[in-house]
Amino acid sequence: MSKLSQDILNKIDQENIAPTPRWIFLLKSWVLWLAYILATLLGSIAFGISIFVLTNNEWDIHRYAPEGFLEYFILSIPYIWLLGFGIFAFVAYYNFRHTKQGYKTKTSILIISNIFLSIILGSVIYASGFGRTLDQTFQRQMPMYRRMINVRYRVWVRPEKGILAGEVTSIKSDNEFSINDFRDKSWTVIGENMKNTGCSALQVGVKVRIIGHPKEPGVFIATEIKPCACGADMPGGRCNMPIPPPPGMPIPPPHF
Amino acid sequence: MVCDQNTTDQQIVQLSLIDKNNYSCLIERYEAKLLRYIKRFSGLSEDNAQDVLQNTFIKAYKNLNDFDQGLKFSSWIYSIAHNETISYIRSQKSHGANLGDFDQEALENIASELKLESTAETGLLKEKVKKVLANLNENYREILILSFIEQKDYSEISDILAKPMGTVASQISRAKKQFLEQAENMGIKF
Repeated sequence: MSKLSQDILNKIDQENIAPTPRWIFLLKSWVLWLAYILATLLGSIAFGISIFVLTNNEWDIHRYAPEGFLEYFILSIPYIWLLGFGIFAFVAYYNFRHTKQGYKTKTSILIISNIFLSIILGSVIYASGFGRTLDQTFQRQMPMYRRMINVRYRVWVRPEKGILAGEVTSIKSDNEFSINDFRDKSWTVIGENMKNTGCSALQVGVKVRIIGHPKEPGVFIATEIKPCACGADMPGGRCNMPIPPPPGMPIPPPHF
Repeated sequence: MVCDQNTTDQQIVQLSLIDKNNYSCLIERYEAKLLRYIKRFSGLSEDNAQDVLQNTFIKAYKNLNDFDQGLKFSSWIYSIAHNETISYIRSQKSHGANLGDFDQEALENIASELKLESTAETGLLKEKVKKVLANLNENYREILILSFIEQKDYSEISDILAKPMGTVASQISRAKKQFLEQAENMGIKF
């Protein structure tokens, strides 16, 4: 026996060194794989919600956005979800890389395949309606999500840009009513040659979108009023009271 | 007999898990090779390289249950030696300049791979190669040593360095280029 092997065996004896049990390595391996699967799944969910938010963005309303389509498009991008998608894709990559054979795959192939997998799963999540369910659940349960993440806040609660949305709280006359915008700020809305697109009559509790301009703090001059898209994912969920179309107008298809 | 040449490394790993004394067979099979590798790669002194070597075998023993039977044991133990050497160099914040010795075959191999058409005598050529290697970036030095001196194939180097095979191939190509550039910068002609 060589001197080195004798020294090593002595050290093993003296320090009571023993091989780490196999189950610990198996557990570590499972945790890494589980974390990889979880991160891929969460990334897919983030992507699925991103598709839902983007496809339900009422792209036709961009004409009301004063800045034009490009800025409306930039405002509409669900950054938080896309960021979440990116973060989870990275976490998945990191975990896969640290699995036993993970080093054998090229970084570029690993990243591209993981993003591709998340996109496919995300599309399935979107198609199954789960993206919508999650988005609406977050809107109902998380005020922060409503205020900061939902793109419609960014688009529709911009009185300085002439667009405002909120829930009707009181009606004084056909041309004057009050709303609470989706940031919980009260406004008195005064109609001036107000065009009513899709609303037969205002009712308390109805969510509306208003085009116009601010007159003074808390007062908004409305030139056009539109109902929020019934059934769509306006902040707070579905319209709690669908607004029927004016007489003679066709019933719009449900907006999903 | 456990240490018999016909007994595979994988079998000795299993036997070492039953009786630690069997582990001495693996130590004896690899101690000389690994000591050379550690010294060539790090330039550490004999004593320091021995410390790293001992740590390598202790760590391997603790992790015997993690040894993947699908891998070559030599790749696995080299990868542990690689990591232990890196840790040691980092803890010391420097590495030595003595790259240890390499035999005629290794010298001929590296000279042929790097197309070093030297008329110098063997001893001088060896010194020149060692001098350039010692001044090379750690990553390039290691991959050249593994490829041309230890004569490991791409798959083994991939397992030792935990890098994809494609990356290993491109790093070897870059390392060869770096070696020649470094020699030129140092005014060393082959």
